[in-house]
Amino acid sequence: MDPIIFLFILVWASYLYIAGTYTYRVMKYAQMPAHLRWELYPLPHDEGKSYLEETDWSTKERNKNLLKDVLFIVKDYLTFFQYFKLNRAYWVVLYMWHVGFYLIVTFHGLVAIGAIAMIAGADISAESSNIGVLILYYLTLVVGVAGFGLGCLGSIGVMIKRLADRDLNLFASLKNYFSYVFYFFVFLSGLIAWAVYDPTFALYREFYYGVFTFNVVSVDAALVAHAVLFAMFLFYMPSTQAMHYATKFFAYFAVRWNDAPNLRGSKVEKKLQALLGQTVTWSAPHIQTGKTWAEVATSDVESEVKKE
Amino acid sequence: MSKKKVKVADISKPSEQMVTLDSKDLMPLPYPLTEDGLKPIKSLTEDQRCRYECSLDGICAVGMLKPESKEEEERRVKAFLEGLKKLLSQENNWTFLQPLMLSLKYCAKCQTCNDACPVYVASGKQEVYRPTYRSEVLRKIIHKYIDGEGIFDRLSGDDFELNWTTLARLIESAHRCTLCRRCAQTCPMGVDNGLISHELRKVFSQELGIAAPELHEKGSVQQLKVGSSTGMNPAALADIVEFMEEEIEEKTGKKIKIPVDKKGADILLIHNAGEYLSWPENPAAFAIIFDAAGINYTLSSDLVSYDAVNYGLWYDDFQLARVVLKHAQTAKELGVKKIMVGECGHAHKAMIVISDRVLTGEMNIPRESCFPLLEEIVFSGKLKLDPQKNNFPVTLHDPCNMVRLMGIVEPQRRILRALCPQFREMTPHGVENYCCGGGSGFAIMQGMNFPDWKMAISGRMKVKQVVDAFQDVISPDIKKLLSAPCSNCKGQIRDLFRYYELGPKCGIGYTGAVEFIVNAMVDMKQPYLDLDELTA
Repeated sequence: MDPIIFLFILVWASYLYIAGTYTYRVMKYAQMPAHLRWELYPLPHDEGKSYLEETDWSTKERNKNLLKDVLFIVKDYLTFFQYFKLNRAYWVVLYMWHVGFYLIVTFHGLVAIGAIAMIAGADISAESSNIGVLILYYLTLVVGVAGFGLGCLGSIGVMIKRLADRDLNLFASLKNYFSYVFYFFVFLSGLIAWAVYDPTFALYREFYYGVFTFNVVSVDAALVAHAVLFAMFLFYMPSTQAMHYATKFFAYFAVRWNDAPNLRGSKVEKKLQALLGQTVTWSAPHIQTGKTWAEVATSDVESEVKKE
Repeated sequence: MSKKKVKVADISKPSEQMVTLDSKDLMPLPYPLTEDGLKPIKSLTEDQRCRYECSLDGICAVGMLKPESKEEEERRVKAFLEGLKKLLSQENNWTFLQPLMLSLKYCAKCQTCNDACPVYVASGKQEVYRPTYRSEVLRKIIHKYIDGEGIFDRLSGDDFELNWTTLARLIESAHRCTLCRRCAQTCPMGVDNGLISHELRKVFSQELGIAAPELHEKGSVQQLKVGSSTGMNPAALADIVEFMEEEIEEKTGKKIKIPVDKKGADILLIHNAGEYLSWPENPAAFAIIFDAAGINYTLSSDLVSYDAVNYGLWYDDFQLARVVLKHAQTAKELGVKKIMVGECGHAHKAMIVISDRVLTGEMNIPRESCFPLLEEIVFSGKLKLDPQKNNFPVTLHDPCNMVRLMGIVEPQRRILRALCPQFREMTPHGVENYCCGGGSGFAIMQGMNFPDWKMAISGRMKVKQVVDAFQDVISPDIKKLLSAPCSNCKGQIRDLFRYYELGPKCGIGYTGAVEFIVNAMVDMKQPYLDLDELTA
């Protein structure tokens, strides 16, 4: 078997691994039990007017503009405007770094689309007369180069910032620095592969054509190096905090902006009744270990002081 | 103050004291408090240092006795780890599991939150008061002792250890955070270091039975047994209600019967019992306003239900639930349409929001803040009000629990803007306000040298804000008031004003919010707010 087949398998395995682990974790967070309310104002969806500022709020319709929440989070994902507002010096390098990630992922998506188009018979090149193909061709080029370049600058920038800033380096771990260096090489390998061997990303598209079809294609060492490093990057990401792209959604929508009241007869109430029926095993003297949450909460205080 | 670089692992290294506080390092205060801000923080006595755990910063908040033996230390460390596992389990901690996990796992360590913390900033940026410091310690414990170390941890040679020193400092550290959650508000990732402090307190309370005595034995336990955390029993309440009726008659000339245990009333009004004892003019003002506006309400004399406080909010989910269930039970028995919370921020949060998912079925009785109704009354024309009676400088303190954590921002403002011609905001205000420094129970925690710490550090930012807000009229000859619509905040502010002598030096006094409404009522025989007395 041609050794490149192993590389194809590695690429597929890395995608499946990251998709699997991320899906598992997202499901894990999504399935966590309803919690007590812990919202934090301002909430975009109430447009500066909490329903708790009204009399008889429980009998009134609540105005909830979910679009405001979505726009806030999308704007933050795209611009990091909260960092821009509160921590400008950090934002400069952080933003470059993350745009590098966004673009490198988008780049691989575009390359994959290009490869699929090739399977369908399209010729992805600057000479194509198809406007869609031309857009794909140039977009891949711009996104790839910008992604590799910004990623390199961002990785180095974030590392320097963390080393130079006393507040940041006090809390940095060895893994943080390993990540910066590793990501730098992932980006750099892509940049070198483009600059030296593959100025139109035609070879990389060809490689992805092989990944999809398992047809043997010829690739040079620089491209192999980038493909391997990118696969390693996908394997490595789930062991880092990069999952915060997805968990941030829960942190905002399920906690920080979750002001949904528990109304009588609601679905939330049913879920809560089940949770209140769970047995607790806390051991402090004022808690009756082995009883349900509701039983402990409704027990008389005189009977609570037990044990010891 | 020690400005040395304090690493996370340092918390586990035994020493007499991890950091030393020096008042010269604290955030400067504005004129005329420039010198007062440098008062030294009281040290513990030798006897106290020998008996109590205070090796974090030489301050003793929890008043935890040192273990008598090595075995006892080990037993507590083991129990803490057991508790931590329960904290991370669905069965034992469904109440906060999702928010906790999100905060534990996804901090980017960017330190953006640090400057939002009034304690950290006011302390002169003391390392151990960073909002991220205690969170990192907890993460390290979980990582090393529950999740298991990875290759990077082994390579880094980290010498962090979970021992009794770590835990003794950690519980004190959890009591250097007022749970104001200003740090969480600034976190782009949605990480909440305030919640981590809260959950740390919970492990100690719910697993080891260790909590600040003012919050537990003298707080929620006393409330559940005697009726109020103040120790006030129903007979004392009856006396105070009678006293308030007499006072009202003297000041207004009106004979008002304050309704108690009135079945079928629309509203069960619950005040923080501290108001009855320390500021009876506040519940009396409610009585005057509600009587004049024809509100069908009642107070309760049932155990627990004449005291809105719920200290469980700060350290123990079960104590929180026990208290709120008593409140709801009373409301159900009286047949009221809703429960209304008086001027008490944490009671607002505990009763209206946090307990929302503890009360189900018939116990899920509507619960509201007093401010929307007060606003309706003020703007309804039911009361004849003359704003000129409040024509002196006034500013407003935003209680964190009510404002940042519930979004009740405007009703109290609209009232004060309408009734106080010289109203001015402090900076920042609204949801970005600073805590009074008495949050999370600090206002009532009076052990050893902790009050000194509260005055010098946790309340420092609020003092600065108040003095800054009145800087253009700072002369003590110009009398002015801070409106603090929260009983616990008022307790802290009372102590702060005494400590910094804001009355004699700046002519600043404090009161609640409803007092301004009554003071503006045209049919009052005499001013309800005595500025000379309030600013003395």
